[in-house]
Amino acid sequence: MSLVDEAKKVLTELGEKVNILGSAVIRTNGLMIVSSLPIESNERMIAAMSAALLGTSKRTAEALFNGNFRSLNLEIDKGNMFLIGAGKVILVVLTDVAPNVGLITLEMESASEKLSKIFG
Amino acid sequence: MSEQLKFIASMFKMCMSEFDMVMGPETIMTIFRLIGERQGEAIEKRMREKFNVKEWTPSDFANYIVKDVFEPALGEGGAEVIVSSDNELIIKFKICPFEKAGIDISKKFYCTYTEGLTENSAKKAFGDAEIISEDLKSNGAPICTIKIKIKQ
Repeated sequence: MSLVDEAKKVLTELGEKVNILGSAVIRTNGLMIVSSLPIESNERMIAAMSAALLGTSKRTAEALFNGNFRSLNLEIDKGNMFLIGAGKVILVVLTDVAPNVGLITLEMESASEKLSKIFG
Repeated sequence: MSEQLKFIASMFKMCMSEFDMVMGPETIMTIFRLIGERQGEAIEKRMREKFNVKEWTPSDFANYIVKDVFEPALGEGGAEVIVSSDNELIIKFKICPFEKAGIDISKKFYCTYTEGLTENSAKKAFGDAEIISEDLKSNGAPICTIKIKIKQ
């Protein structure tokens, strides 16, 4: 099974456990690896912005608590975006406006561990 | 380097340092990648029109990109493109313009620009192409070597 297929499997399993609108695995340099984002999304720019959000979030975590970034929940009036670092890649999940934050975060942590192993 | 260019290079270094501190390396590498991709697209279009190319061949692409893009930026002999087979281009950059300007390249911010430019120009020329391996000066290699697979 290729790395892309393994990543797709992780996203599929995640989608079966929690109610999501879309998900993606993105390289930290802003390149999309796998995605199942809504059809109207500009995937190239979403991937680039996700890498930028990760970079800025990491720096903010250092500046605020001298801490390490764990995850980001971006609340938007029409839905939510969750972002978590997974080693060399980023896991992004889109949900509706009222997600089960606890469950999604838990499942995303588990998925990010799997992705970290897949992409070394 | 003229005093004006030294000033701009110095400003550029300071900007990158602050961008890195505020937004992190992921952001900078992503931005440079996007700039490279857009340049790659524009370069392919410009060469196609300038040299009246109906359909690209790997050897025409290699010749024109060296003459029209790399040599004006890096000087004669600054880069070469070898067509290793019908489906592979090996691009060798002997000079890094960022390093030449006294900019620290060890953080690899600017490598993504070159990656985006080379990969996307090849993609536009041949339909699909991707970088399959690279050896970079920023990793300590004597020259940058980027291998691109053309998927036709």
